[in-house]
Amino acid sequence: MTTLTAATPEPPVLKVGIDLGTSRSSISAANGERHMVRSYVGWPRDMVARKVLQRDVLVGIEALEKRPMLDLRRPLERGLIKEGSARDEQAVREIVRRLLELAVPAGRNPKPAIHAVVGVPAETLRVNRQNLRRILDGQVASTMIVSEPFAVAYGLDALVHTMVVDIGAGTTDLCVLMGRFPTESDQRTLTVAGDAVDHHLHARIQERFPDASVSIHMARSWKEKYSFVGGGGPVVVDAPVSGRPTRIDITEPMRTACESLVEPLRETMLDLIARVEPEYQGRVRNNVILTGGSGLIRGLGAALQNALGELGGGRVRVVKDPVFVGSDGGLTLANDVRDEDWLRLAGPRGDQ
Amino acid sequence: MTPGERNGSSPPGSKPAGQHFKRSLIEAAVRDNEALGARPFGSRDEPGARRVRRPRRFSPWSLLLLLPVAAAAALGYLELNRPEPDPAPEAAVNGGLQIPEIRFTGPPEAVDVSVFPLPIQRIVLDPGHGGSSPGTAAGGLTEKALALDIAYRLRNLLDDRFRVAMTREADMNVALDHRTLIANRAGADVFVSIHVNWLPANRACGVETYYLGPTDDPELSALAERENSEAQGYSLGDLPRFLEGLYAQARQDDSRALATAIQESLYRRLRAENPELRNRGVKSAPFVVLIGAEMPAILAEVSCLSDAKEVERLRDENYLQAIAEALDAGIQSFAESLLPAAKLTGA
Repeated sequence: MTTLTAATPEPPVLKVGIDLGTSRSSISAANGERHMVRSYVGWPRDMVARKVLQRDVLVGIEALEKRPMLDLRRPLERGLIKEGSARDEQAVREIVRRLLELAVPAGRNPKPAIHAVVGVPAETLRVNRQNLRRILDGQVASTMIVSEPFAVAYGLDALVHTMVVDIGAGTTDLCVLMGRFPTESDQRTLTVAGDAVDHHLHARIQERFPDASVSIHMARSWKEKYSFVGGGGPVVVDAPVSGRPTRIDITEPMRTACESLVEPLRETMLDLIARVEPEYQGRVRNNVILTGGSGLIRGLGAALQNALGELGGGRVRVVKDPVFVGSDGGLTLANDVRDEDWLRLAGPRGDQ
Repeated sequence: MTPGERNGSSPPGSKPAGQHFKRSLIEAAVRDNEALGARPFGSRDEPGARRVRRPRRFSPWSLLLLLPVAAAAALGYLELNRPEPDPAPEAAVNGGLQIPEIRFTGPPEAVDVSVFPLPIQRIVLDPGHGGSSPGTAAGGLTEKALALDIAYRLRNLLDDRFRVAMTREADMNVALDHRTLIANRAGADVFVSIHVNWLPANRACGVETYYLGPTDDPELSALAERENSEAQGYSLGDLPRFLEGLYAQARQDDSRALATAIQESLYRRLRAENPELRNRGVKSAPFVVLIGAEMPAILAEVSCLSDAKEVERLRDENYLQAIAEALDAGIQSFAESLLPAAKLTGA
């Protein structure tokens, strides 16, 4: 006789790829959901703000827009969780929570167990990755942390003789894929990235138009619309000068700021390529993938391709939709990881 | 190129040909992640043990800077190999060379370090306070958190030109003697301690930069007493060394030059943000954190939490960035002043 026992059904599994970025974070889920949130978190400054906002915490663009009432955090400075502040760790937790809320439809029962691949900057220190695991514990059932360029390359199926150049807001990651899991010597992280261009542009505008009142947010929004390297422009924008809206020509500041990326990128690309076995260097040069938000700066791909001329030429291709390329790659990887491997990667409690 | 485009031969959606190859990559990724769990969560790396992340730029011209040192070393070698008529009996034997006992016949003369035109390469940043020592505080802001934030930003700025380490990278206690020990062991060329001031009522906010030395100003003594209050690691037996350190001439000139460069840069840059900012100048005071340092060392009070308007400015990331940029420019200016090219061009 067989005794039937009422076993607790296993919760369904949802695999996701997450890209935690300094400026934007995105999630791609196996159920087809894809979402992006700005990496800002804010808590009401006081009881009055709490009463007006009717919320305990705001995440994303909403937090940015209501920042005067908030203790606003951008917790992923340079792509890493800022250390030394429990508040910043809490902010990262809130961003992940929001991403998961967007990916898992509300009221779904039973709640799925999340298996997540999370992309982080290439040279993220061990302690930062451990902190991230700790923060994710309790929100996801199992986590794999990989370098962002590896996730991108995996998603594009570009794992052999490829260089990925991922220019984010806080960091630029470069990684050579040679058909093996990238090691430290295959990767570089530069802090010359989108934010550095913003600050450069802001400073150059202030130098050229000392009477103009320009915030870093204005400089950033102009960069996102009009950035270019090499020939381009003119870039004429409206800015208050002594309180009056005035047209100012920021073509040269824009060019100078954007071109500040080229030299460090050129130098690091050539350094990484020089480390590849000689017979494969040509293939890598002809297979450079430029991604990340700042990878869309007009003319940047061509400038980097010109730089490869020093080594005999090469080809740089630009990813047109960089917002989800990291999380999509993470999802592709998550789908390929076997169940037994997810068990090996489960958190201390092995559940949510 | 879109995420749908691939550089391999396998079309999207189909099983890629190299499944076995991908399997090995995933296995490596799993092992890499498993290794993360080997240390308990929340454990931290050794303070100051930060890996330098970028390859150094090397210019063959930098070898020219070593010529005077090489010449000095060669001369020293010849001098040491000259037969000694009556070597001191306790002379140490080192690698076959007899090193005569060194006797000082009078106070050492100050040496102009510009005779050794060596570049600045390693910088140790010291975010003041930390852990159970919050420093000054106002409006929900603490000196320890601000100092750490500014230090991170500064490290970010310096990173492409120098090797940079920090005495703490988190909100943690670090004894004052340990801070300079980190700098000494790292062979740092410059030590910069970052603090935020608290000024008596009705004083306008200002920036000031200190190097080690005595003071007879009771206000500065009070400030030093406050900043020295966490002098764990030292005992009364260290007092003679403290006093010697206070009057040591060798590093004082360099430290004063570093303090001047940083103070000028801080005032020039931050005045653009706050026209009422006061230049409180370069001063000497007996800060314990500077005593053990074997390199030019300064303590910068980059802002003050006693001023309500300044507290509001300190909430703005752009202002914190401006402070870091000012410190960066000051350090760069000091570094350039040590190079012969800068002297030749009058830069």
